[in-house]
Amino acid sequence: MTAVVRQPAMELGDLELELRLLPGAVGVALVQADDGSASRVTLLAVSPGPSLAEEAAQLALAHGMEAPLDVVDLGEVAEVATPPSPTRRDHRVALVRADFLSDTGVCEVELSAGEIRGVGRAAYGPLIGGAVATLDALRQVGMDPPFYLLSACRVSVVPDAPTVVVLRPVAGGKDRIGIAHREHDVESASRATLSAVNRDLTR
Amino acid sequence: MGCPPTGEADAVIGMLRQLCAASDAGVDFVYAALDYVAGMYRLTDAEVVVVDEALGVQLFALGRRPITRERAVELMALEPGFYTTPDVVPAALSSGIASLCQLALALHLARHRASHDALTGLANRRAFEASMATAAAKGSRYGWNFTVVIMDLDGFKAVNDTFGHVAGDQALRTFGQALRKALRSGDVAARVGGDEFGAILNSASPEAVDALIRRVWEEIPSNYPVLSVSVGAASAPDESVDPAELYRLADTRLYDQKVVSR
Repeated sequence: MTAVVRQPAMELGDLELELRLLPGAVGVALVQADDGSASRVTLLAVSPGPSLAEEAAQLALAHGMEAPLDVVDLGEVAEVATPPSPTRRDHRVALVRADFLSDTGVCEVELSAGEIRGVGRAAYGPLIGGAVATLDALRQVGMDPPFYLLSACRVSVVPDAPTVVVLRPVAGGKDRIGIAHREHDVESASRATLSAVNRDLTR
Repeated sequence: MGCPPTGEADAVIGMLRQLCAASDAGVDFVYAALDYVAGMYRLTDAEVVVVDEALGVQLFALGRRPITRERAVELMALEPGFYTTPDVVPAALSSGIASLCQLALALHLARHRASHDALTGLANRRAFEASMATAAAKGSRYGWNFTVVIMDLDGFKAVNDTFGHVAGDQALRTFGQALRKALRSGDVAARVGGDEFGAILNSASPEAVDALIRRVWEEIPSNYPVLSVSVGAASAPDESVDPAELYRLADTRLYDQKVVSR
C-alpha cells in the first residue's frame, strides 16, 4: 500500500470551506497543480490568532495536502478601512428571543436596538410567522424596513437545512435574500430576515 | 464594454440560479459563477464578496487566485456583490450573483455539517455507512475488494476522568487527524461513535490494516495520552458483501481483541 496521498479536485471545495471556517479567515487562494491537487495555499485573515497558521496547516495536511501555506494578515488595515460608525453602533439590532406560542398559534420576536426593545407578533406558522414578526418588531424599535415578505422556507435538499427568507422592496427593485441556520424555525426565520434587511438597517 | 441590458442580467441570474439548484458544488459553484460571468464579459479579473451568517465576510477571486492584501481590504469595505475592474457589471447582476453564492455556501455548509463529525472533521456515522454502501456497490460491479476497519481508543474514559474533557476532545482530534493523514486518497476515515473510529480501505486486503495502524501511530505526537487502540476488520468480498455484516464482523473482532487485552 502506497503512502502517497493526493486530494482529488472534488475535495478541494471541502478543504476550502473548512479553511474559511477558521476564525478570522476571509479568503483562500488555492493554486492547483496539473493533477488538480493544490500546490500552494494562501489564507487571508483579519487579525489571525497565533494558532491560525498551525490550524490551517493541520487541516491541509489532514486532507493530504503538503503544499506550502501562507497566512496574510489583514488586521490593522482592515480595521482602518471599515470603522464602525457611531450611528451603526447606536442602532445595532439584536435578536433577544424568537418563540412560537403553540397555545395561541402566534409567533413572537423580541428585538433590541440600544436601549429600545420591541416585540413583534404574527399569527402564522414558525417560518412565515418568524419573518413577519421580525419585520413587525423592527417597526417597534423605530426602524421601518421598506420590504414585504415574499417567501420563507427551509431548503429541503439536504438534512438539517438552512432557512431562506426572501424580501421584496416596497418601492420595487431586486429582492433581498437572507439565510440562517438555527435549531428552531422561528429563530432561523427571524435571523434570516434580519440578515436580508441588514444592509438597509446599517445605512 | 458597457452594461448589458437588464434582460441579459436577468438571463444570467436565471441560468446561475438553475446551476445553483442543480449543483451540490457549494464553494465550487462560486468559482463557476465567477468564471461564467467573467467569460461572458471577457474579464480577466473578477471578485465576489459574500456575507454569510456562519462564515462572515468571504472574498473569492476568479480562478481561485490570491487577492493582494490591499485589494482584500478594499473589498471588505464593500457590500456583498460581484466586482470587476473596470466596473462593467450592473448592480442587479452583482447583488444577484452574491445572493446565489451565499445560498451555495450555506447549502455546502449544511451538507458538510450533516455528514461530518464536528469535533474531528471526519465523516460521521451516517456518512460512513453511506460510504460502505458505495464501496459495496462498486465492489459488486467491478469486482473490487475493500476492508472495513473499526478502531476503539483504549483507556479513553480514563483520559477524560484524569485530564478532563478538554484533553479528551484533543485526544480524539489528534487521533482523527492521524487517521486521516495515514489513509490513501479515496479511502474513508470516520468517527463512528464516542471513541470509536472507522476506515474503509479500498482495494486493500486485511493485511493492509497492520500497516495502516503503524502509520497512524507514526503520525501521533509522543505526548498523546491514549496508549493503545483496539482494532477489528472485515473484508469484502471474501467475508461478506453486505455492509452491515462487514461492520458487525469488524466490531465483533474489535470487541474480542479488547476482551483479550484486558
